[in-house]
Amino acid sequence: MAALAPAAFAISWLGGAILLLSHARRGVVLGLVLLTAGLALGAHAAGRDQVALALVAGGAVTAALRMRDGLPGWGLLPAGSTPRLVMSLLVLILGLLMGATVKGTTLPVQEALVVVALGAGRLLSAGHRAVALAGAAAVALALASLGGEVTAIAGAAVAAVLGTLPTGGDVEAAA
Amino acid sequence: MSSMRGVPAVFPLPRERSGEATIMLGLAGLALTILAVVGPFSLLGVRLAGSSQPARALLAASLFALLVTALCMRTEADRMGLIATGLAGLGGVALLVMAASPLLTGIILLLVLGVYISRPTPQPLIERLRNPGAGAVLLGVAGILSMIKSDPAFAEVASLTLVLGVVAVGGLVPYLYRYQPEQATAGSGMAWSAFVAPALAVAVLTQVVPHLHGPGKSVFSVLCVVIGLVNVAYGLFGAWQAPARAETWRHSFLAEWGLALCGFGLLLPDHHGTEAAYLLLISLVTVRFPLYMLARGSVLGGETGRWAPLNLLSGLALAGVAPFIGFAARLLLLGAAMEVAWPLALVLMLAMLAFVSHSFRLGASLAIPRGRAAVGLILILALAAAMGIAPGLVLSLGGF
Repeated sequence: MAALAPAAFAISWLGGAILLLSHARRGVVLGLVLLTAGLALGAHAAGRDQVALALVAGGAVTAALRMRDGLPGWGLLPAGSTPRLVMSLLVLILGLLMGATVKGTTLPVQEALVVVALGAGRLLSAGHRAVALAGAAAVALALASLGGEVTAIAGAAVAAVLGTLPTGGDVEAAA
Repeated sequence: MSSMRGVPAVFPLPRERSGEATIMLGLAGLALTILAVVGPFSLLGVRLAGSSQPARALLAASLFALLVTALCMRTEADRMGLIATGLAGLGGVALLVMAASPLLTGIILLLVLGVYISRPTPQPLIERLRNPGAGAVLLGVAGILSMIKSDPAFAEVASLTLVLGVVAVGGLVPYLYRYQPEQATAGSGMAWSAFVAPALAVAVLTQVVPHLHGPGKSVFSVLCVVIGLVNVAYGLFGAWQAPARAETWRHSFLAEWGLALCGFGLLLPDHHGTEAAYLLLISLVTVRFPLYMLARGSVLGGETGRWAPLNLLSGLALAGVAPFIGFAARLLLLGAAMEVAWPLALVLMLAMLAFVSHSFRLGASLAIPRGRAAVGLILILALAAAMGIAPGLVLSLGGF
């Protein structure tokens, strides 16, 4: 089980980074799928299979629903992505350092913090509602991965509901 | 948007009659509010509605403020739609109040934020989601860091992010939102500052504070007092410099929030600081916010200020003069500050006195209320006086 933890961290970071670096439908969905897989793997490695199941359900629903809207295509690394690219690398480094610092807990704290940071970056820099809602869903899933069963189910449900919310198909200017 | 004398409606809904979906959402919000106010209960072995008693009292106060505001303000809007929209929002606040941990609060805040930004408005998306989004993330991070017991530094950072999270949701310094008086209140930062954040702050801070120890407790206390004083100063000088009365109203909220934050930071064995913060936020929700909504029509309509008896009484209530609720809250706060450090009490007292003149300007900005607006104003002032005469009852309702 312990061998799964590094893989969970790597997949979580990759998913979060793709979400942060993409502004179109397919990239956002790929990011959500990967980060959900990473968080669920981390929960499974910590022996929390019911939490992992809830995360998979919530992540799958929100990712599937996000395919309905947003800009078409992958939208990876659009012009002006350099700050977000730098941020994703910084988060990776800080996440690795956190792994060395955090002791005394079996919870997948490292994965959750990395996804919260990258999801927050996506949420707070979004120029489109669909992308912002995807960022919010990522943060909700990450927070859910650390709570008990009620928190996990609540987080998964919130992620799923965020996927159902209308986006209006508008593209608003990011400040 | 419908208007009266060229004044935009306060909520963005009311161009047409409220739809069934809005009414259903409103009913769901009302049911959630009642569940949260009634208190904790168990369903299939799972404990739900883990709300703290002061937060429940504040939620009930928010319901009162919503009904008085929607029923009494001057508008040609569909009042049923206003009430339904408000109740739907209050349902979100009830969910926040029911959350038993910062982790869950962060998750539910993301849901509320999602619903909030899914409604199209002319305001840029990024402006709308910045404060509540940052607040949700910071509260979530506080929840995560509080789980790490290996190093006390994590507890300190958790306290820091917790306070900053609440401050961000409230749109206070250093997370000020762009205030546009003509913007519909439900879609603006004012809704978060005056409607969502008070219940959230009381729910989160009163649940977390008993578990704070050592450096984490010190960080929490110092940060609350410092940010509180900064907001008091910003509100005071902002109101002084404000070019319009609407801006003065906005700054009065900042100053009141600042006093409440100072109260939260004064962690004393007799809980007088927390009690003062609770009373200040009750006053903000049941007196300042409804008065702001009643004054909004005349302020935006450019009506000149009046000095009728009701205006003077409103000014006294806003200034926190006896017998209104603000007086008891300020007295408790000064007492708590005296216990900690008399210079702090002196600074707070000077700030309170300096805001008296602004409060009378705000009272005058209500112009001459007529019809249902006058009824609403009398109701608000009567409640403020009743709570001020019996603050012990209000405190006991909050579990103090």
